[in-house]
Amino acid sequence: MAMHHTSPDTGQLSAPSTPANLPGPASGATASAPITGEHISQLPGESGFKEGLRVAGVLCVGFVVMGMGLGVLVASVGLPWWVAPALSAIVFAGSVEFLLVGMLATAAPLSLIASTTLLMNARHLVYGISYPLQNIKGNLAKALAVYMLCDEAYALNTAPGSQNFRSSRIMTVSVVLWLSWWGGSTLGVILGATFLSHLEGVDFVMTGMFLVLSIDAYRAVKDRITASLAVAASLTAIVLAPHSMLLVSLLALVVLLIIRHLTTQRATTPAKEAPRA
Amino acid sequence: MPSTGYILSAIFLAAGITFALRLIPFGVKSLVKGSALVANLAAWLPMGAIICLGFYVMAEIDYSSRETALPYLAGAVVTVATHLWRKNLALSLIVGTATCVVLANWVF
Repeated sequence: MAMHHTSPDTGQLSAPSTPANLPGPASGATASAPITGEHISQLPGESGFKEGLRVAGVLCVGFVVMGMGLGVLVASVGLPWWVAPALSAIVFAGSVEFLLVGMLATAAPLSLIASTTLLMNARHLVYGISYPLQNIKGNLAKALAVYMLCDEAYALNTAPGSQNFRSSRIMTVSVVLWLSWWGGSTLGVILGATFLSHLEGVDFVMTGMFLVLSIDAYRAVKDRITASLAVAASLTAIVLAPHSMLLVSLLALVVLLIIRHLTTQRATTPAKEAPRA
Repeated sequence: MPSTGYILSAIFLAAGITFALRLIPFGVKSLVKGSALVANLAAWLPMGAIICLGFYVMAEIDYSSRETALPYLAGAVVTVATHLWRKNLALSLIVGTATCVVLANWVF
């Protein structure tokens, strides 16, 4: 997911408040404690469950749609139908699942799957910092919350006021997003295996998906420097390493961003990000 | 058709790595919290990665012949145009995929 836009973070219909695959509002140069004080997210008398449904509703619809895209893709590359719900329910990580479908279909080595997953999902390393896990009661619930911590759950549950979020709200958001995702992909694989099974070109869904997500991600952040670095890394990788283009471009991007960080560190303050659109 | 064992191994491997990545920061919160590098990477990386993915899917198109390439290229153009116009994920995807499918099945 994003996400993003999981993980994700990744419901992109019309104008959701948080784009997919982007850390939520509490991230960026201020990835420390959420805003303290009076911000109350819940409506008067609203249960945590209802609050969770309300804030996650739009993204759930987006997840069903994107999940269907994944399911259709699974069917079109000829993988067994159960791969769609299994991938979505067990991995639950948005965009990397689309990559996995391609890699599974070509029987890619597990080492490539591992390194791609690691790079693509490395952003999750910073989610735990601001996620209000301490508000969740019970170790099983906490483990589930961490397990379902996709980009979108992160964005929704670290919104202003998050330090007061109730356990039921946090869990509801996580669970409905998870259900929407693998429910959507199951629907999609059924659709793909029945109505669409004899058609060519259905796997375009993945191409279209990432093109759209790129546009939305850039629109949301408009960080020209990172975008340019990503373009440079991608083009270089295509020229130098066409068969492992994704891995090389992501690694190159990380290196370039570290350099960017180091050069902006020399200025007085750590780089302020471009304002979120 | 890849074997079930391979597929399940891959799924659980990816899931395990993802879960570990999600879990680690809760353990090392104090170490990572103040790091400006981590904060910056967290802000910059997602959008950058998705852009790389956009290039990746374009690079993955089969350019060996007109029949295999043109439906996807046309689909890409239509998808991007629709999305810049209407900004709606579902619409852009459906229109773009339909374009590619129609071209791949009935034109080329």
